[in-house]
Order: sequence, then structure tokens, then C-alpha cells
Amino acid sequence: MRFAAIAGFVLAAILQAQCRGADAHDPETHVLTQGEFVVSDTRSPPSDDAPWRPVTLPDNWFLSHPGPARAGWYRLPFDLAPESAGSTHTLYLPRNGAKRMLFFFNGTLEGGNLGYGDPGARNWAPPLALAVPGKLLEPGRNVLHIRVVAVPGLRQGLTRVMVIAGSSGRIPYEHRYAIQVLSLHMFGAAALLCALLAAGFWLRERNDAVLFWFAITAFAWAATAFPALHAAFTPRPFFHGSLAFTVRFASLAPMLVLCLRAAGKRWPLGEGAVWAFTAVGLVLAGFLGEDSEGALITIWSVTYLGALFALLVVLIRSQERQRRWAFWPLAAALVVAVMLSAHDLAWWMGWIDYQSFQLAHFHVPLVLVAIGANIIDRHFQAVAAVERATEGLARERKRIMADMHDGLGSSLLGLLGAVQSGRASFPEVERRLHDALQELRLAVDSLETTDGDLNVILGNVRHRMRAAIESSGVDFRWQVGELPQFSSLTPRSVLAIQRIVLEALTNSLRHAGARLVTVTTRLDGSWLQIGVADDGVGFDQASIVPGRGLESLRQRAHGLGGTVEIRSSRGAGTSVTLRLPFEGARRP
Amino acid sequence: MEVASETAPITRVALVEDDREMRARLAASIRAQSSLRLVAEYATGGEALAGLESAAPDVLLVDLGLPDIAGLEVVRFAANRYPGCDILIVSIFGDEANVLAALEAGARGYLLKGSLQRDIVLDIREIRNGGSPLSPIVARQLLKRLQAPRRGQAAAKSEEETRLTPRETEILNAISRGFSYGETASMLGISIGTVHTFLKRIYRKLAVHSKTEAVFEANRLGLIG
Repeated sequence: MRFAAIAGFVLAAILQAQCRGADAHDPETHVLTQGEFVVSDTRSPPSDDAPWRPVTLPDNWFLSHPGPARAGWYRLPFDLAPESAGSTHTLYLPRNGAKRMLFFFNGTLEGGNLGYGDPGARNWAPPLALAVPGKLLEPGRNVLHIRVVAVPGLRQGLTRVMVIAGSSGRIPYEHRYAIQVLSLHMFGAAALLCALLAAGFWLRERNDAVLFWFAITAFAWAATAFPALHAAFTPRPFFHGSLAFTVRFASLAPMLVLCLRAAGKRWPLGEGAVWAFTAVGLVLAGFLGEDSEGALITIWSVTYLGALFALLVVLIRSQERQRRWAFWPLAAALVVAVMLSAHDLAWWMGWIDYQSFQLAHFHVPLVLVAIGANIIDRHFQAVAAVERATEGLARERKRIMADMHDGLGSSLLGLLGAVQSGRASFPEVERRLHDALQELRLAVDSLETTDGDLNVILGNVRHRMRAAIESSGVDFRWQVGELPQFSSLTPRSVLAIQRIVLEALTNSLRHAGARLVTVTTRLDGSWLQIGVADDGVGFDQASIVPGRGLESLRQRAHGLGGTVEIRSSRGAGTSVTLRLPFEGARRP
Repeated sequence: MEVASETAPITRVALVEDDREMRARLAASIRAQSSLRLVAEYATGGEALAGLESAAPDVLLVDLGLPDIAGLEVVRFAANRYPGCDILIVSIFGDEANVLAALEAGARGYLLKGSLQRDIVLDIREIRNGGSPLSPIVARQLLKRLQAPRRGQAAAKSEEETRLTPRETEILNAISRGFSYGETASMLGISIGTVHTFLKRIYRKLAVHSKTEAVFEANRLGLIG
């Protein structure tokens, strides 16, 4: 943030230095700052009898002659050395800042600021340069008369006037023109391109608000960057003010909305207020004449600047925690925008040198880049999300393949072997086919999202076993309490838990000859216990060779990070207890 | 294998299944029961739509994957036309997505393909007695769907028609934890018949919910009004 502020200051300082450089004292450059002024509407320079009063340039009429628009004359004397008097000179004004200007050298009209229309309609003012033929200049004392028609409310007036020997006066003019005018057109062209690009993207992606507002804002920027259009197509008086308002302020409301959207925010009340405020300004500007336009511009500039500043504060505060890199260029661009707008406002209020540059438009490329960075950031996030999803899919695919291989595949192979060997009886084949189907159904169930809800996961085993339980005729007790959610459970571990319980239940129902089968759950410290117990025949743990079934129970439990405990003795039933670690579980 | 039935009236069963072997197996299971009478067998949805009127079954078994029209269409058609007819879908997996869609369309449960004959008969009898068992996964889905705060304003009016009452929530919660209807009933101190009544009401809410959801979606997409 500090960098942005410093960058803004440095930019402003460099530009101002450029301007000063042109005024630097040089024997060939005459900077006219002292002269006389008279309010007069005559077409040719007033005579010496007119009430001339001393004046110092620059002369901002907003400060020196407030009131309605009017005409006045400046009389500026300067001395030329005899050797340079006969050569061509250049008249240079850093700011072509009046409605009409006519220049008379020693009583002869040389030219004016023709064709620039009304600079008050613009938030910039180009410089002005004029070639002065040597024959109009005399050795020794020369007098430059300038007739100025200016609107004080629009901060019109006369800057310092420079008369420079030869055509070297073109150099400061070109500098100033580049910074003040060409940059504006360049940014405008860039904005137009960005606008077209964003609009194109938006047409494909209609629900992307950022793209939409980016396009609107960039179009508005492009429009404000061609103030010459306004001069070129001399509007009807009624539209004049509104057009001037549009050229000056069109981009602000959409930009405020755009920045909100880019930061992922909506603020209907504030946004509505900004639009309403803009609409009121637009209509008012149509009704007000050029003399009251200045007051309107003051109020609207101050308010927009305040809104921009408020937006900046809101954005920075809202992003304090979540530091996405793409946010910072945007914040920096907004800081610079605030500073440059404040600079221009200071000029408007007459607080800084009348010859200062208009700088606000320099924020345009910064904001363009910042929003571009945001859009690029979102693009890469979307790509990353797709990649993650693809990886997840691949992982899930692998899991299902492994499952098919270990579960259904091996069941079917075992069955095939049994059938081929001719050892399997028909009921045995039917039973094993049934088990294979059951296996497949559990695998399908494990694809459903259970969000680690163990209640459902266990409940599902019972549901799938329903027919087997009912037909076995045992007294079945389901003593399952409210269980916590194991949010860390993967589909694989869900399936593993279900298979363990299924296996234990199947054993109790099929082989134990039990009358009572009980399923219990218990939360024990950081462990969850799931128990399946029967009162069947049991077996002698010491004598029995650990079979494939028991071993696979143990392996599955181990894979879950838990243990399985099997207790049995001949004639005293069997109990299988699965213990699962509780970490990552949320209490119900 | 004959399953004892307590002097229940004979249940008329119709069957829509395109797989010949499967159809024959199901038909045989039904014919083996004196309490059930197979009144019609259809190989396609079209045949079923045309023939249901005259067959007038009490229970209709529908395979979802039919060659001509979607099994769900048959379910929807039959549920609208013949509200007295209980519809079961026939499914290999009884998986959540298919079962929920079928419940929304008006089915009352599902039969697993490959079940033992006796189980098929038990399932048919269960549905005549009240309702076939809901799987915990589906119960949980119902809890989620009918409880979640609804988006949009259109919800306000239909809220009561689509939201679960506390009692209904308790019942679904118990079922989602694996308890049978009987256990659920005794846990809540109500009769098993009451559980069935509540479940029927929940199914109705699901149907309304899916309809308003569809209207809401359509509104959002600008298809209506």
C-alpha cells in the first residue's frame, strides 16, 4: 500500500518537473508573467485609455475574476535582443485554458485557440503552440495583446505565456501534449480494447458480473478519453452540459461497482445511491448553464472522490484476512486513483499551481491491469479447481477399480473355481452369488455421499441385511446410539467399516446358530466401538487356525487405523468389536 | 415357497419389465403365492400405459430401464391415474439416486432384482400393509431435502407443504440410523401404523417439494411467466 502511495507521489512529481522544465530560464525563452488586464469586449486591443490594471500570470479567473463568463484583454510587454527580433518565434501556453483566445503581436492578429471548442467540458486542457513570424517582432520592446473569453466557474483563465526563439518552443509543447493528451488517447484505446475483449468474454459467460462491469467501465473510460469528440460534434445547447458531465464523470459509477464486484461484494444501497447521484448530475448538467457548471463539477468531484476513498477503505478492511495476491494490484490502483483525483481536485479548487497537469486519467491503465490480474487469477483458480476435480476423479476411479478387484472380482472368481471343480452345491452357489451381489450393492452405496455420518453408514448395513436377518429368525437387537460424524471418512473407509460389520453379522447369522444377535455402539474416550455379538455356538480361539475371514477383518480394521477384537469360546457365543480412533470426528 | 398370509384379500399385481428372464422370475415368484395374483405383464412402457386401465392392479412393479419410455414416466403416469395402486420400482442396486427419483415420481419403494422369491413376496406384502422399508441413505436425503431452508420467495406459501414437522423429522432420523419401522414406533411411543401414515405424508411432501423445486427452477430459467 505504501508503495502505491509513493508511486503516485513520484509520478505526480515527475510530471510536474516536466512542466517546470519548460519554464526554466533560458536567454532565448521569455516567460511573460507580468502585464496588465482590462475587462473589455472590443474586437481589437483596447487603447491605453482603457482602465488597465497590473496582473500577474498565471491568472485563474475563478480566483481573480469570479462571476459569469466574459471577455477581457491582457497586455504583456517583452523585450527582444536585436539579433533575434527578425527570426521566427514560438508562442507557447502550457494550458489552452480559455473558451476563446486571440493573440496580437504589436497590434497584429497572429492567431488563436481556434477549433478547441470549450475546454471547460473536459477534465484536461491541451497545451497550445503558435508560430510567430519574425516580421511581427521588433528589436527592443514588443507588446503581446491577448483577448480572452473565459468562464471563471470552469477555472478558465490564462497561464504564463512563453515566447521562445526559433521552433524550440515546440519541444515543451510536445512534452506536455504527450503527457496530457496522447496518454489520454492511448489509455482510451487500451480501455476500448479491454472493453471489447471483456464484452466478448462476457457474451460467452453471461453470469460473470465482474466481466460485465469491467466491459462497461472500460467503455466509459474509452468515451472519456476522447474529449475532442465533444468539441468536434458541437452539441445542441441543452445536451451540452449533460455531454460535458458524461465526458467528465461517466467512468466513475461503473468503476465503483466494478471494484466492489471484483472484490466479491455487493452493496445494493450504496450502488443505488451512486447511480442515482450520477443520474441527478446528468440531468442537472443539462439544465444548468456554463456559469453554474463549475459548482456542479465541484460537488460531484468531491462526492465521487469521497466514494472512491470509502470504497478503498472498505475493500482493504474486508480483505485483511483473506490475502489473495490479485487483490493488491487493485487496491494499489485504487490508492493511486484516489491520489491523482485528489491532485486534480486540488487544482480545481485553486490550491495548487494553475499550470499543473490533469493527472486523474493515469489511474486507468493501473486499474485495467489490476482487474486483468484479478481475472487471470480467477482463471487459474478455475483451472486448478478442474485439475483437483480431475485428480479426485482419477483417485476415485482407482479406488473403485481396486474394490472391484478385491471385492466382487475375487468373490466371482472364487465362485467360478468352486463351480468348475464341481464341489459347490446349488444352494452354496446361490448363497455365494447373493453375497457377491450384496458386495456390489455396498460398493454402490459407498459412492453416495454420507458426509461421514456413521449413523447412516451403519444403518445402511442393517438395511442391506434386512432380508437375511428376517429370514434367519434370530432375535435381532439394534442398540445403536447417536453417533458423531466422522468428517474425515473417505468412501474407502466407509466401505471398509460396512464390510467389517457385514462380515461379522453374516457369520453370526449363518454359522453361529444363534438365537440372539446384538449390534451395539459405544463412545469410549477417543475411541468408537462397534460390537456385533451373538449367543451362538462360538468357537475355540486357541484351536482355530485364523481363517481368511478373520484375517481380512483384522486387515480392514488396521487399514482404518483401528483394531478388531474377536472373543469367542465354544458354547458361549462370539463377539466382534471394532474400535475406531475418534480423531476428526464431530460430536452430534 | 408359500408365505403365510393372514386371510388378506388377494392382491392384484402387474409387472413392467423388459428383460424376459427377469420378468419370468418375478412372475413365477408372484404366481407361487396364493395371496397374490399376477394380472398383467408388460415388456414395454407403452404396453403398460395402454393396459393398466383394464388390469387395475393393486401393486405395480416397474423396471426403470425400459426400451421405449422411461420407467419413471410409467411411475408418474400410474401414480397420477391410479392413486390406489402402490408402485414399486425394480432395481438391481436400490441406489439413492434412482430410489429418490422414483419416490418423487410417486413410487412407494423398491424391489431388489435378484432377491429371493420369499423376499419379493415379503416386500409386496409390506407395501400393502403400509410401506416398504426406506433405506437409511434415502431417509437421510429426505431429511436434507425437506429441511433445508428454501431459496427464493416462492417458498413462503408452499413452506408448510414441503417442510418436515418435528415428528416426521424424528421418524426419518430413526430410520436413517437403521431402525426398523417397528423399533421406530416403539422408540417414539406410537403405533407402527402411525409411522406408515407419517411416511405417506413425507412422500407427499417430497412430491410437492420436487414440483415446487421444478417451478422455482423453471422460473429462474425464465421458462414460466
